[in-house]
Amino acid sequence: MKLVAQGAVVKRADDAGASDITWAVGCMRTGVLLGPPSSAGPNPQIENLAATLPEVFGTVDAGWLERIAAQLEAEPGDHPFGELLLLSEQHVHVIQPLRNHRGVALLAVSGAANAIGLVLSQVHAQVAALEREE
Amino acid sequence: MNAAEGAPSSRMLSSIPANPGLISGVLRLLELIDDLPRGATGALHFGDEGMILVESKKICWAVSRGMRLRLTEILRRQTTPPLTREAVEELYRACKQTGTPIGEALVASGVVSEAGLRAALFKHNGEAIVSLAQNGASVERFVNHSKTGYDPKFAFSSCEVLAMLGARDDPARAAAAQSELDGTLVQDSVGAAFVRSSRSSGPLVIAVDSACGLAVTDLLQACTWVSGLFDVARTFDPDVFAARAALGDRATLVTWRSNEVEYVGLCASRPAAARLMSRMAQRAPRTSGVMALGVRQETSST
Repeated sequence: MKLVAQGAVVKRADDAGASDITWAVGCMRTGVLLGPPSSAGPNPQIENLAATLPEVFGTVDAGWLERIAAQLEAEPGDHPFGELLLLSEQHVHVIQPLRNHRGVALLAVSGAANAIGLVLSQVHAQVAALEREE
Repeated sequence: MNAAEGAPSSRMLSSIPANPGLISGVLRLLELIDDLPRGATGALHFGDEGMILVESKKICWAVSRGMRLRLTEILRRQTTPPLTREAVEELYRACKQTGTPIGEALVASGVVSEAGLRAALFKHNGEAIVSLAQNGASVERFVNHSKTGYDPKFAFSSCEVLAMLGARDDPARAAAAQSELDGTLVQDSVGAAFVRSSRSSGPLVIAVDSACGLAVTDLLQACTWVSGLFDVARTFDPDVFAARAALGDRATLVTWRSNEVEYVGLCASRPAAARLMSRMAQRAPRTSGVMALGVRQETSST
């Protein structure tokens, strides 16, 4: 399987602010990047984000998630977690497990902490492109 | 006469120290309630030690042999100045004749407000459960009751009782956390606030949204996962202060932290999660609209 996030650093500017997203695809079990990040050079931030995947996803007891989802009258998803978004003062980090590539997640980091919607729409487009790949 | 309305939960158990052993003892009792079948109504009997009346996993009434304060005494202190003992006893006698619950009679007569009665019942039930835990009470049986009809306004979730005990650690912090929850949660969401404390082996829940009907075990596991998530996030960004995780097609967990307190919001719909996350985003400094262009210009010129 070869999965590489498409496009180099995504650049877009509009009235809502600019987004500058670095992509990569990582293995949720090992935390290893499965291809180079989309940034021009090494990107320690996205590599470190990838390194946390086993701890974030591997230690989750699905039982409480299912019970909480049931309490909220929602169907649990295929994965313990679907999209995971983390927000800091300067960055948005997104981890999006891929449905068609089990155990693999798209990772994205953007400096547009005030334009989450814009970042997510680009993440979703990137995920859709990856899901189409065999 | 001022009714002590809406007294913060942190004041409820001022006489009871919250130590790890006590918290685990209370947890054990609350888990018994959470594990009852959905809709179960009846009484958990603890032999001579006392009992807990439950309706649909909500605590309606609890009593323990070792309790120091009785409800009438708590109710007396709901007003400033306190009601006289004679006045309460007279009302009690009248209620006995008519079969009216004394709490309702106090509200109907305007002596105590509805919020005051709720606060008094919360304190009474909380103290009873803590007393049962302190005495190591073991459940002997659950007796089903065919008759239901406790007023939901005066029934309490296991999470609320857990938070009442956790709030003892730092009442001012718990009151602030409650205020943060009340001011931040949106429609279709419930939530809780917790801290990391040596007083408990895991997260110490210090405030909950009154609509939070989660089992205490599930709430604590959610808090534990959130704690771990913030710890792990330091690896790649020490300034992460909020996160959102999809639990399924609609359910979403939103978490944030502020002033050493961590919060969990559980949203039943995507719009609720979006609104809650939007509130978090508004807390970030709005300085990132202008990007450093050095690397990008270099990239685009190739």
